[in-house]
Amino acid sequence: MPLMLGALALTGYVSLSAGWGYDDPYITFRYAGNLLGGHGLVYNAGERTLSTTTPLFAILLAGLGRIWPDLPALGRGLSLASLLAGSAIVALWPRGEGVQNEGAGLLAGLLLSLSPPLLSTTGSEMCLYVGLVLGGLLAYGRSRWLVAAGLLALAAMLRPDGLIAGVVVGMLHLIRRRPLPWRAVLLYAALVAAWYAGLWLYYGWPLPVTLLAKQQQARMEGGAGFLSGFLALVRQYSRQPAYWAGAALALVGARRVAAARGARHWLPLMGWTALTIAGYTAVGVSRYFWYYALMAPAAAVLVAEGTADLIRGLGRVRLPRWTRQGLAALLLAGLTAPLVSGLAPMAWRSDPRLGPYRRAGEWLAAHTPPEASVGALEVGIIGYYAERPMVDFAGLIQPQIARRLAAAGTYQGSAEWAIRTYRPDYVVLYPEAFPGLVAGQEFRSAYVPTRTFASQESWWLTVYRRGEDR
Amino acid sequence: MADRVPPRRGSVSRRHLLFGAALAVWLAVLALVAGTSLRRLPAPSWGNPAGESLSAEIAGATRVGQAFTAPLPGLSGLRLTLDRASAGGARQIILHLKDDSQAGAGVLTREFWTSEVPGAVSYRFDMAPLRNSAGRTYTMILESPTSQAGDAVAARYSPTSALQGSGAMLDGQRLAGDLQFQAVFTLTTPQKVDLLLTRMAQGRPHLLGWKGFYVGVALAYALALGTFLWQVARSLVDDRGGTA
Repeated sequence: MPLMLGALALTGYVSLSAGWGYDDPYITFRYAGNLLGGHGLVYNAGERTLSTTTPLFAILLAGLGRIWPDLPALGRGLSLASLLAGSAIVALWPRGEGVQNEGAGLLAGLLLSLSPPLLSTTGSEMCLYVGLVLGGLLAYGRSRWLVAAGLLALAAMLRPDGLIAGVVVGMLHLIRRRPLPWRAVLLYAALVAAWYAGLWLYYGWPLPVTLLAKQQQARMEGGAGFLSGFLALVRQYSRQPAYWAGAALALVGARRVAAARGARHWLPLMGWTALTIAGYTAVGVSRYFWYYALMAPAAAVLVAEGTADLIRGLGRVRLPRWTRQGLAALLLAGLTAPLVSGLAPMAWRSDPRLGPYRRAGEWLAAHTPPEASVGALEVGIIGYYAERPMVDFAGLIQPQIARRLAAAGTYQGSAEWAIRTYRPDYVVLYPEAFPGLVAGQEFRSAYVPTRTFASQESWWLTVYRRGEDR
Repeated sequence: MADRVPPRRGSVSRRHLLFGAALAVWLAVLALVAGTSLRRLPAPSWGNPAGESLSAEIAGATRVGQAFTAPLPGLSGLRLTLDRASAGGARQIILHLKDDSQAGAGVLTREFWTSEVPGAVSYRFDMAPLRNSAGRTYTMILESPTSQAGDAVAARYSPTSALQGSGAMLDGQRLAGDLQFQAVFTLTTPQKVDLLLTRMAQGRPHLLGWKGFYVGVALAYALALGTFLWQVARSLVDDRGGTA
C-alpha cells in the first residue's frame, strides 16, 4: 500500500508542479547547463565564481541532463522523488527501534510527503538535502556507521549547512560515550575535505558568494534575518485556527519524544532541526522561504506522535472497538484532508514572475549578441534562458556587489551602483519596484525601453537597452 | 514488554462494511475540504498589467478602446487605469462593452465623471457573469463627448504589449499595444476544476494530455490514502504505546 501511495503521489505531484518554480534554482540550472555545454562549472563563462549554494546538485543535474536535457523539469522530478524517499525513511524510522507499533512513523511519513513548505521548494536541492540528512541520521540510529558517514558527507557536500548533521551525530556519539567508528569518521572527513578543497582550488574560496549576499541582504533596509522571519512565520500560522490543532498535537508529540519510555528514536532529528535553526540564526542570513522547509520533518514527526498518542488514548476509552476506530479515522481524515486539498493551489497559482522572466530571457537570447551583458535584480530564470553574461543587483553573482549591499541600503541603491560600475548592455527591471531609478536622469539618458514582458494578471518587466551613442 | 490486547475479530462482512463506511466518510470529508479550498481560490484575471504610456485624451469625438478575446467563461468585470493631468471640472465619461461575436451587441454601459480621476486611478466595472464568454471577442470603448482636449482623461497604455487576440483602439482603428486593463472572471467550482485540469494537461503528450487521466490519478490516490489511513487508525487504536 505505501508503495502504491508513493507512486500515485509522485504522478500527482509531477502533474501539479509542472508550472511551479522560483528564481534561485535556475542559477544552479545554469551552472549545470554550462557544465553540459563544456564551459566548466561556472555561471558566467570564464568567471570562476561560486554563486550556487549547491554545486554538487549542479553536477548531478548535468550528469542526468545527458539523458533528460530539460533541466528545470529534471530538478522538479529529482525534488519530488527525494521528498517521497525522505518520507519513506521517516515512515520506516521506528521499525527496528524496538517500537511495537509503527503507526506514528507511517503517519509522520505521510505528513512529510504532503508538507507544503517542502513541496514549495520543488526544483531546488532542498528535498534531496533533507532526504540525505534523514537517511544519514537513520543509518546512524541503526549503527550503520559507513552508510551514515557516506550519506551525511553527501549532505555536507550538497549544501555547506549539511555539516550541521555531522556535528549532531558527533555530539550524540560523544554523549552516548560509544567507541569511535574510525573508518566511518575517516570516510566522512575524507569526502568532505576533498570536496571543499576542490572547490577552494577551482573557485579560490570554498564557500558560495550567496552566503555573503544573503548576510548582507538581511542588513538592508526592510530586510530581515532568519530568526525574525521564523517568528513572523509562527505569528502568521498562529492566526489561522486550522493550525491550532496541529500545534497542540505537536506539543503532545514533543512530550512523547522527550519521555524516557516514549519515542526517543527521533532525538537525532530534533537535535538536527534545533541546531539548524541556531546555525542559520548565528550566521545571520536573510529570510528565504526554503530555509524554513528544513523544519518540516521534525514538525511532521511531532504532529504524528501527538496524534498517535491521542488515538492510543481513545483506545483506553470504554467504547465499542468500531467506534474507537471510526473516531481515529475521522481524526486522521481531519488532519490530512486539508493538506491533500492544499496541493491544488500549486497548479492554480504559479509565481506571476515566471512567464515574463522566461520570455524576457528567450527574447534576449534571440535578439542580442552572445557577448551582450544583462543586469537584473533576479538573474535566475532570465539568465538561464538568455545565456548572456549577467550582472545581479542582489549580489549573488558578483562578490563586489554582494559586499556593497548593506552599504547601498536598498536594492535600488545596489542597482544604481551596479549599473554605473558594470555598464550592462541591457537592463531588465520591474519598473514599479525601482521608480526612482527608472525616472532618474542618469538612467534615462543611458537606456531606452525596448520591450515589455507581462504576466496576464499583475506583473510586468521592461528590457532596457543601452543607447548606441550614450 | 508492554501487553498487547488481541483485536476482537468481527465477521468478515462486518469488517468490510466498517471499512467501506470509513472510506466513504473519508472521500466525503476530502471532497468537502477540497471544494471549500477551490471555492476560495480567486479566478485568474486576464489582460495587460503594463501601462508606461498614455493613450490619446478621451475628449470630443476621440474614442479610446480595447478589443480582447476572453480566455475564460464567466466574464464579470473590467479593470482599467485612467489618468488625468489637470484637475478641472466634471465631464461625463461613458464606458461601453460590446460583444463582437453578436454583431456588437451592448453588454455593459457605465457612466462616470472626470472629477473622479485625480491622477492615475484604477477603475473596476462589475456586471453579472457572462456564462459563455470563453473564446468570444469583446470591445471596450471609452468616450467623453463633453470633455475638452487638455482637460480630459487618458487611459494608461503599453505600446510594446502584445496580448494574443487583443489590441488597443483609437477611433475604431486597431493600434499596436494594449491598454492597461484586466478582464475579471467569476468561475463556478466545476469551472475551476476544469481550468485546473486544463492547465495540468496543456502541452503534455499522449495520455498525459488527457484531463481524465488526472481525475483517475486523483481518485486512485484518494482511495489509496483512505485505505492507508484506515490501516494506521486501526493499528494505533490497538496500540498501548510501549516498546517491544
